[in-house]
Amino acid sequence: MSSFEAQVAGWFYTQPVLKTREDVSEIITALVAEYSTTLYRVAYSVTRNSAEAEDIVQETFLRVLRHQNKLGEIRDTRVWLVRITWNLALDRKRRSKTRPETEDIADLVRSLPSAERRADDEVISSQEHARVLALIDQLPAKERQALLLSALEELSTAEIANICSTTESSIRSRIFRARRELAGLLTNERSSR
Amino acid sequence: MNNQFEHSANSPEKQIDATLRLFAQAQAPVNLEQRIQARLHREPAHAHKNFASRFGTFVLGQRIILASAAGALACCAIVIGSVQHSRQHTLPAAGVHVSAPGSGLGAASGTRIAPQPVSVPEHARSRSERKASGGRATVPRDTHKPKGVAVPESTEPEKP
Repeated sequence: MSSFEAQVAGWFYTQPVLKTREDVSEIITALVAEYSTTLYRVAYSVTRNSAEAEDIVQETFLRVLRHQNKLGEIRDTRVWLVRITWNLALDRKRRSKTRPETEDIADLVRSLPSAERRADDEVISSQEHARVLALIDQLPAKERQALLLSALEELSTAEIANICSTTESSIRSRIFRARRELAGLLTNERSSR
Repeated sequence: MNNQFEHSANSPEKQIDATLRLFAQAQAPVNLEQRIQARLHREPAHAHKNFASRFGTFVLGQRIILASAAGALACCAIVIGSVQHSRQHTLPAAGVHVSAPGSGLGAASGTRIAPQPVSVPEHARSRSERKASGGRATVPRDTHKPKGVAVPESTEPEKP
């Protein structure tokens, strides 16, 4: 198809209209059931606060409701939703920088199913996690984003690349650089103690 | 995970993996889906649509009609503009081109009309008029001449 034909097709393209409000409601219900956990993890990886992460997920689906006319145009719903969640979480984190830290990593470590250990072990583990997370925050924004999104098993490298609007190879190199830098920071920190 | 953390002190890579796994294993709060649904139901679908978004939706929906109307309007504007333009400029009579005074525009061949009549001095003569005798110009002897200008001697005797 030539560019002119494509342009004409674009002019005469009418987006598929979702017929009734029930249709929209059904679609959004299905999206909530399928993606709410993934989106919660994405939001949690940025905010590290369960209440804020939940609020962000709710806000994400409210945005979907407000832009329900675009639902027919979206090619990859998961990527679209994760991108909305990520941006909302970043906004929230930026705004909450003035407030004291409200991370509840210790709560998360305790709530994990594999956390069957003694109380002092848990404290040490959560301290180690907090230390690694503090170092993750020192990474450049792009590398941090790639690293945190790569932690989610639901997202493939191609999807992460789509979310970050870049190529897969770029994402791989960002993750590699982030891990190398993080390992270096951890090693330095350990040797200085 | 226990084992990982027992050896984590020696391996930064394992420590990073274990921390990142926290996010992968994070469990959403109980009844998250129900709370989302409840909030979505509380939120009316069109309540947050502002004028801009409604206008955008309208424009997108009716874009063929709007594009046709805009094209027709543009055509009308062009036709009306060109007709008015042609009526404003009446063609001057052929042969005599009078340029507007003081406009700075006009052809070299255009007739210039002075803004007021030019008075003729009493003993005036035209510039091209020379006193010549026998078809030759004569220069009187006492005429002030700049240095370096050679003037041939007049062959005619001067009048007393």
